[in-house]
Amino acid sequence: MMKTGRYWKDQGIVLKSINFGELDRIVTLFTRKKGKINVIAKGARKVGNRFGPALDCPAISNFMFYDGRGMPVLSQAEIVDCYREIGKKTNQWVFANYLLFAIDRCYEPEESDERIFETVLFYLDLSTKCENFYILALKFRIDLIRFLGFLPRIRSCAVCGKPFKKIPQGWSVASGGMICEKCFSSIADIHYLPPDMMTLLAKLMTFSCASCLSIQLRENQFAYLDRLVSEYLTYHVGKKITEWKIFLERFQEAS
Amino acid sequence: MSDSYPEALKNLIASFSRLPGVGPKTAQRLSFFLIKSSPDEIEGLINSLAEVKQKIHFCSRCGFYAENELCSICQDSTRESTIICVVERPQDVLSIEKTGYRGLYHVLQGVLSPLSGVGPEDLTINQLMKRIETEKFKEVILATNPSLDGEATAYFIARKLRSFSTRVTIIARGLPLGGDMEFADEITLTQAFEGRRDVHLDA
Ligand SMILES: [Zn+2]
Ligand SMILES: [Zn+2]
Repeated sequence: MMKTGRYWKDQGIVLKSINFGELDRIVTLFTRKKGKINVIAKGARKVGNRFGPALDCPAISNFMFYDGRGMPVLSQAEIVDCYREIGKKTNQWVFANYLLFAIDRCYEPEESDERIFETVLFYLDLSTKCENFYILALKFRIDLIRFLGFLPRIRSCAVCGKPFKKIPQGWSVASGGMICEKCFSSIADIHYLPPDMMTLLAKLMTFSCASCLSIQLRENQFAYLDRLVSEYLTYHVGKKITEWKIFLERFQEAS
Repeated sequence: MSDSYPEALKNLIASFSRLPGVGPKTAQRLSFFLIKSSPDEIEGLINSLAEVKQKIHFCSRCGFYAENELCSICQDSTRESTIICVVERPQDVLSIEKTGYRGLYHVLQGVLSPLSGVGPEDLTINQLMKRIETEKFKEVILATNPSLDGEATAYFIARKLRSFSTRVTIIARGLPLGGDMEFADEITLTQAFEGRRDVHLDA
């Protein structure tokens, strides 16, 4: 038999995995170099299999693959971190799942972005130290929007491009940002954006993550921004990106 | 699948292909095997399929397979009724039965998974809470799969059980039997260390 396969290595995070056949799993990874890929992990359903917890979401490992005839075959996994402890804290675990959910929705197979790989690691680490998931979930989606290349315009009109002289109050998802008074009437999906929301959005877009964490948000302000950011991302990605509040809600204990 | 196959054969192959773990090749092999089988054998198979669909459902109390309202375990008065073991799927009951465990069970019918959209209301967690309120257990054993979702589900339930005085335990995670310690990953080893216990010597 002719040997056509070859081995290659990449670091990756497990986005999801589904059972395949009696013993195997198909695992979706977001890797540092190749981006989102599906690989087959043979024997991964057996207790005590050689991959151990490396295939649990959101484990990060150094993987070795083998090019098979179809999907790449996973041959080895050396765990970097498997965030096992987050299983004990429901909110932390749901947040980690939210990161993976958003990445899986926003990236196509083979679409790679090392910045987003680093960003996920950053937020996963941060989520084990800081429990302000409302801010983290907002900031993470804004980072995603930035890397995907459609950060909304907030300093100048998204339609005519003229810099704003006073705080604008029009927001258009389809046009990609704030709209000046002159262009206001020409846009179909125009929304009124309250000035305090505009200011908060600008802070979330320009502040570092650490500074964002000191922003005080009232519950209704968070709900507004949560919806705004998810709507924006959903429109530009073309896939539904659920709001954090909704994603978390069903795992909250009824009070 | 070959286009030249008769319609009935194509349908049979397609039906087999929908079964878990059965690929197109296996589906064809099973179909060819059945074509060669005797009418009696086919009759037997058809009857078992009809019977299983008609008679087997989930036990109204614990969620295990049952032919009556209650499963054979729930009906067995010799079982220890003060201890309950929570598992993900009915098949897990069969695995645990082999260990000689004599308490009762509760089958969740799945595991929490935000990614697959499975929330607490999709599992039998509320039914479990009601049982714990009314059946006066001394111990609840959480025996979900050793996956992160399994772990998160166990801790989610444990947190809901805080208001009860019942003892809540989780089955030990750690090294599987057989194999070589050298090849164990550090997470599994760490959990094996956490789950260590005193060595009891006879006499
Ligand atoms: Zn304009
Ligand atoms: Zn039962």
